[in-house]
Amino acid sequence: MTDREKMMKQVQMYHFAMVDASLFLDTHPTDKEALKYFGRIKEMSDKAHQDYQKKYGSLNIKNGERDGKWEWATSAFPWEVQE
Amino acid sequence: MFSYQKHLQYPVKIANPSPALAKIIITQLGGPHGEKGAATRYLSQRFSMPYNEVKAILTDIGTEELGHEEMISTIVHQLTKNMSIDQIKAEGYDAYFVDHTAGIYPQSASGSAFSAETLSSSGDVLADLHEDLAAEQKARLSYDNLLRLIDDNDVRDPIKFLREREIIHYQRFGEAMRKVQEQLDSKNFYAFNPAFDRK
Repeated sequence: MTDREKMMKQVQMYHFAMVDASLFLDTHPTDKEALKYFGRIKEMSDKAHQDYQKKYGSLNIKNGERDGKWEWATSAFPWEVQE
Repeated sequence: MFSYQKHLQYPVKIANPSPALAKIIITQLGGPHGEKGAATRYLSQRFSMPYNEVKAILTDIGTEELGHEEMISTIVHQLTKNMSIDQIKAEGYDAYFVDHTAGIYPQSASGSAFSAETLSSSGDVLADLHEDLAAEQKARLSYDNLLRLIDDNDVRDPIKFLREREIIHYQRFGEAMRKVQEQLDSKNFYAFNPAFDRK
């Protein structure tokens, strides 16, 4: 696994944990333990996003610009396998 | 509003092209139990749902299904990207190829184009949620059938992930159903549709 793939896996893992927990919270909106878990995972997800974007480019339009360029449009798309 | 995250929900990295597999997996994009139908079903049904927590689950599962459309499309794209003309002919991909080349088109395994006739948005709270529970089971069984036909672990891995999600969604829709039933009129359980009837 390349470094890029490893960092992308962190992004995917924490984002997925957030999605999964959010579905649980939709039907259990006052579950204290789930709320705490979501808060913890959200922090890790934010960090994984930041780390990836610093090295490999934008994951959303909020972070579309890097080094004076609109990297959102020029960086690789997720259905392509990166060598 | 929707905004795009430039990453797949789960990794897809397939080394070997296989038009034979692409031909059956495309059904989970545009077939009767596919992800496009799922997203369309939930993102349409939510407008007549009277309860906020159930609007939330329809919105969030519907949004996740859009991510699953992207995963299935990625699997088909990678399975057909470097296929040879000999493979196209030998593996029966020629009928698809002549219309779509190596592009992505939402259709079933048997070649029918995606149709909204495969789903329902009835405006009736109980009917819609029963449809959603059944839809998750139908998607799950299609993934089970695909796993019976696929040997390549690069392909099995993301398919197994998608299958697991159907089970979680089924669970969440079951909880949504319970929430709705707690609000219904016990004297006239089915005749009363809280999305339309006024008490």
